[in-house]
Amino acid sequence: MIKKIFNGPMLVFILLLLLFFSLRTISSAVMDVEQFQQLYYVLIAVNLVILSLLVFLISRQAWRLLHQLREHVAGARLTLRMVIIFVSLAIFPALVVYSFSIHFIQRSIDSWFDVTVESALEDAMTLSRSAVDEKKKTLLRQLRRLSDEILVDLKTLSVVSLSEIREKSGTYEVTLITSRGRVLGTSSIEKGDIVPDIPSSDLLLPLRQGRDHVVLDLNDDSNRMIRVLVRVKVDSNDANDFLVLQALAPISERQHRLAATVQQAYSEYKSLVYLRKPLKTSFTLTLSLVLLLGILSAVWAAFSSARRIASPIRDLAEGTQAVAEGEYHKPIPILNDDDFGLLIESFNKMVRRLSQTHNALEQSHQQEKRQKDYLEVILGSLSSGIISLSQKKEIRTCNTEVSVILGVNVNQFHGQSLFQLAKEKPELEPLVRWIMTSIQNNIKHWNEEVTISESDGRKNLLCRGNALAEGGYVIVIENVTSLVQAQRDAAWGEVARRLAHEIKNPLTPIQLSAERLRHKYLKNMQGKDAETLDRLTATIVNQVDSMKEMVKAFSEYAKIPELKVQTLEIESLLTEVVDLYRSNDKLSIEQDLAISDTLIEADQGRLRQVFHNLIKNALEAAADRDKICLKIKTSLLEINNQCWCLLELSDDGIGFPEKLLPNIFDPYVTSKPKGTGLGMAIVKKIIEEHGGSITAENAPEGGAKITIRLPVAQGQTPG
Amino acid sequence: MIKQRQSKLHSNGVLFTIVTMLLVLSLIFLFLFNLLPVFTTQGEFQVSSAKSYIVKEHILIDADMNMKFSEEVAEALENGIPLTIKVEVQVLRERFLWRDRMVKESLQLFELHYHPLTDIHEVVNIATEERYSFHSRQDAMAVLGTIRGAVLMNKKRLTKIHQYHIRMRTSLDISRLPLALRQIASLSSSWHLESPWFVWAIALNDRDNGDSQ
Repeated sequence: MIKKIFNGPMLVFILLLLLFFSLRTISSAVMDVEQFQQLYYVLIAVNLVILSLLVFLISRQAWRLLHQLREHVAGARLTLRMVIIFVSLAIFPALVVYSFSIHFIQRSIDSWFDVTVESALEDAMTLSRSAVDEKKKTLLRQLRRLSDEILVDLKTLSVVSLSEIREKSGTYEVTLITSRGRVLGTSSIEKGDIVPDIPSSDLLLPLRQGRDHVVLDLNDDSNRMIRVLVRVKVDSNDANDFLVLQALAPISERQHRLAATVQQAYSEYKSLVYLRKPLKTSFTLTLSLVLLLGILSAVWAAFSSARRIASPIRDLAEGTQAVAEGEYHKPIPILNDDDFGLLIESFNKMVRRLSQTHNALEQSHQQEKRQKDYLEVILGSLSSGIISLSQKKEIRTCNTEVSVILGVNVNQFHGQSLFQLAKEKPELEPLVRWIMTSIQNNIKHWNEEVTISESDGRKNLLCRGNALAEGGYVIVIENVTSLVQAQRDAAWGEVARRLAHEIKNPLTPIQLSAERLRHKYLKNMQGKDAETLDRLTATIVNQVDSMKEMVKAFSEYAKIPELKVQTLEIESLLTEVVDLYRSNDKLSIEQDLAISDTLIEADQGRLRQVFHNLIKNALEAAADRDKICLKIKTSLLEINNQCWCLLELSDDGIGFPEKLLPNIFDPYVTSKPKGTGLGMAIVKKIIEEHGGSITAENAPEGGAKITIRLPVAQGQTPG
Repeated sequence: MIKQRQSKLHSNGVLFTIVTMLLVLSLIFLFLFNLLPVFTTQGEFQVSSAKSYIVKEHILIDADMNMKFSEEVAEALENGIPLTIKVEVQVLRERFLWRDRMVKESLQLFELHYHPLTDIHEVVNIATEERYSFHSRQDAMAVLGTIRGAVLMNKKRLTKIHQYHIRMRTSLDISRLPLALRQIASLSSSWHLESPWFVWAIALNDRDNGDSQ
């Protein structure tokens, strides 16, 4: 409350009113003697206090403005500018009026005094003095002469002598007194007047110094006169011992009136001349005080007005800042119904609309975010990989599955070209090249199966692309490796079944017929014919046996026996099979086993067949060598929280022929002259039936390398 | 940065201008109204001695005062401005831990005129309108400064159970100066001629007088 009063205009207004009334009271107090004595200094003190308070308040305002300028508060510069303008507008005219008023007062007061009048008065005064002095001198000379003539012998002095002097001098009273003031005798024109007029002691001072003395007394109207004092010597050794002869000469009424008038006029004029300076000073003081009051009022009013005018601007600036910082719910209060009020109202309207737009935008953004999240969830749950490309053919969005399918974290390549994926993983180059070629050829829709070779085998990717209206593309990639494999397996199975069915049936009659021919006719033939028949029937029988073997193998491949799954230690099973071959002189086995307690769920017999096939393959591949080294290594691998046991079987043989390597697990692919080409295909089929995978490659140091990956049983963790 | 500095300089300049303006105005006022210390002959009013005594149940006062006018005051007198000399005498009853109570206050006003034609200094007792003429200012001041046997009050108004003291001072009464001079005189030190209070205790015995300060 107190702060509000101190900051508000009311205090200054009250102070100014007090100052105004105080100045008025000072003015009236100066006029009145009683008031002057009682009030003048109190009022001066009150004025000084009020002025000091005003100066303090103005300084406070100035300091606050300075602080605001330093802090770069909005509206501070405008306030400063307006203060300077207001103060200038108020002070300069006031100073002009002040200087003109001072000049006018000086000139006006000076004009009251005329040099001619002053000179005339001086002359009149001089003339009066001369006249009086002349009369005084005449009287003095006359009295001195009479004194010397008549008062020769003081011992015989009588009143007659004094009367003679009085009569001869024309005075109305003559008195003889001692230097100590004792009256020796007197003679007056008035008979009854026996009390002489005794001179005051100061009048006797010149006589003590040996001089006669004449004074004019005009002040007492009833007793105006010229007093002549003549020193009369006595016979004494003491210098201070003398007599005084006093004569009082009357002054005529006219002379007195004229002299008094001249003296009064001269005195009054001189006092006026003397008062000229204080009068000017007094007027100047009053004007200056009023000017000071005016200036202080103007300065304060300038501060107050400037602050009031700048206040809405400051509010607007703060409001703008708030809007800039995103605060839309802070309307500026409209204090005045003026132009600024209109402006603030418009600003508030604008802010309201901005707020509505912002809210709508926010809602739209939220909705978009929700839709995006929804889309991401859908895309994330899809088994297909999806990549969207921008107009610049850069990766814009993708789902998680595409990273799984391509084996590259595509999210890291946002805003980059698909070629960057190929750089990261060269195996993807055929896919990327094909996609980019399609895009560059402006094909709107495409659908193609692309095969890429990876370390774990071939991967068949079905890639579909669609051009978007805005210029981008959506690419859907599906991993159809399993499907293709399944289709191939089904086709081979069908072939095998048909072979088994169509070929196996006539083979036995052919063999029996060949054996019957041999048995029936061989004994009847001789020589070359018998030899030829024997050779031909033996060939038929052998080839039929071979065909039977082949049909049997196809039959096994086509057969889909039910897996007898059980939990087993994979390493034990592997070791068990390997141990069967330790007695073979051509084979040396090196083991690097590390998963002794790892369990898997598998069909023991089928896996045993896998290991037998692989080891036999190795032996068969090195049939022309004396000895072969088989390395067996086991380890654990964790991919995406799934634990796998890794079995690596490698030899130091010649390895797989490069041209067969991509299709090594296809049926009827073999490098052996007598092989059926179904061994590796069966191995792969068994491994895939167990949910695992198998890859074949040539080791960098030479020799073939087979890597089998089988899932570890649930509940097992990598040790 | 440059703008900030310019703004700072600008605002400092404004404050400096305001302060300077106020200071200059104050100096102008002081200069215009002779409020600055001026090295001129200073006047002095002093009660050099005073005593009281009782004659026929009345308390009478004898006092000697030195009155010396400053140059400004003497100049005003020579230029026909009448001066009023104020002589204040107060009788106070002493009170313990309390402000002394005034029993009697006497105020005598004397007007001093100068008549240029006759070169006479005239002293007028304003209360009685008695006039005394002197042919020099020194004589007039000497007479004004000498009080002999002035009756102050009746002794009966005082009781013996209390202690009393008298204080006396003399001053130039500027409130009776001409209007044009009054305001300036009130603000100028040259016109402030006032003696300090001269204080002495009252002895209530006949012809027994005190003379102390």
